[in-house]
Amino acid sequence: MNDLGKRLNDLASRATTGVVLADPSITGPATVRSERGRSVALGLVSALAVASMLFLWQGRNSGTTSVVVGQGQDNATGFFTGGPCTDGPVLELLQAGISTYDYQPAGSFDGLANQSAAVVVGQVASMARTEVNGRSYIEVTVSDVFEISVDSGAGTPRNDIEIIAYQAQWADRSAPDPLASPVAVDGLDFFGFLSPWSGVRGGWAPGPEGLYVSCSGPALPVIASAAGPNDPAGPGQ
Amino acid sequence: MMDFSDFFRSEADQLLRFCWVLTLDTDEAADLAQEVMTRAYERWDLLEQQDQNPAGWVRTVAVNLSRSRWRRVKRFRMFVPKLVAPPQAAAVASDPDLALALEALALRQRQVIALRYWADLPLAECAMEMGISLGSVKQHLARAHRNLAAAIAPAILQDLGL
Repeated sequence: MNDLGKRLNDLASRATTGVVLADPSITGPATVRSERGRSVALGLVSALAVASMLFLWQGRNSGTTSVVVGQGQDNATGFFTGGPCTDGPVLELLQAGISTYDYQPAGSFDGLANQSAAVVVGQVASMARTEVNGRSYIEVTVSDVFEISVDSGAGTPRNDIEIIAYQAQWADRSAPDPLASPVAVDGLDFFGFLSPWSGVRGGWAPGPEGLYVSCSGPALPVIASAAGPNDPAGPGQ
Repeated sequence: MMDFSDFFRSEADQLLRFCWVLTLDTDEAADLAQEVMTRAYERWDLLEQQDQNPAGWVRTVAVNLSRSRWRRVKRFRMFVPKLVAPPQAAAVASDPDLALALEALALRQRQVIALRYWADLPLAECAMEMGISLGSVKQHLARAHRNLAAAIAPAILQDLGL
């Protein structure tokens, strides 16, 4: 090991002093993974104040109520049809057919987190419209989902969250539904405040302000979701 | 070949430090190293049968896992700036210049620095463990050298051939 290697090793040794790994041959791999999940501190709680500022900045043009989170598009042209992510067209697609309604805004990310069962980040793989029990939904298939726990600050993979769904009906009979077939997308990240919802496939839905999407890059996230399990406008729990 | 417990006793601390150089975050390093060791345990029979180099295998897995973790944290930071605690390297008072310089490196550059200088591997082995070509390793290393240059003492720069 040369001098740079020694300096690196010295840094690493000091930074990891007192950290002891568990031998999985003694404790068992499942126990090790469970303990490890609790040990990853991301400092979420203290940072929620910072996040709230971003939230309020985004909502600066919104009223205290009656925030319209999306309108169905009137024509089929201009919708995203698949491939590399582009912010505007993807957002239009995710909002295609969602309804307008009134609700009480959460006011902050902290408030949203309190209303949600899981705060997650991940990647959107595809979008499609489906019908369940006569109701129409947009199903967002997601991958690489990672939960941020408000209580512990821990970050853990959530492989059980594969589909996020929210109510959205394509009512324009004069134009074909752009989500009639699944639309795949590359490079679309999401940030979601989710709750279980047995009425939809996948079992998870975002709250009314609960789904933010952005193509990889510096763009700010935008609200993309509509009626979910916590909404007065939602179709039921 | 040694059994897993012997391997764990001899390599756990080394792997933890290697993971710290990759992540510059003590919690992330512990998490990463624990996951890598758990995967090694789950595949130990296979590693024994194939007579692989388990120390090299765990480094390769650490490098690969650190990439997905990096993407995940980067994604989260994009949505909510500063929500994830920044790397803790700058807080390491023993060598703050080097710690800050490491923070500024791209992940691939930090990986190649960790393998070349911390693990003391030849370039060809760095390429093998990173799963990229020798030419790519040289490119990442050259960029890392340039970015680290300001933080490294002249004597070490000479030693590095910079």
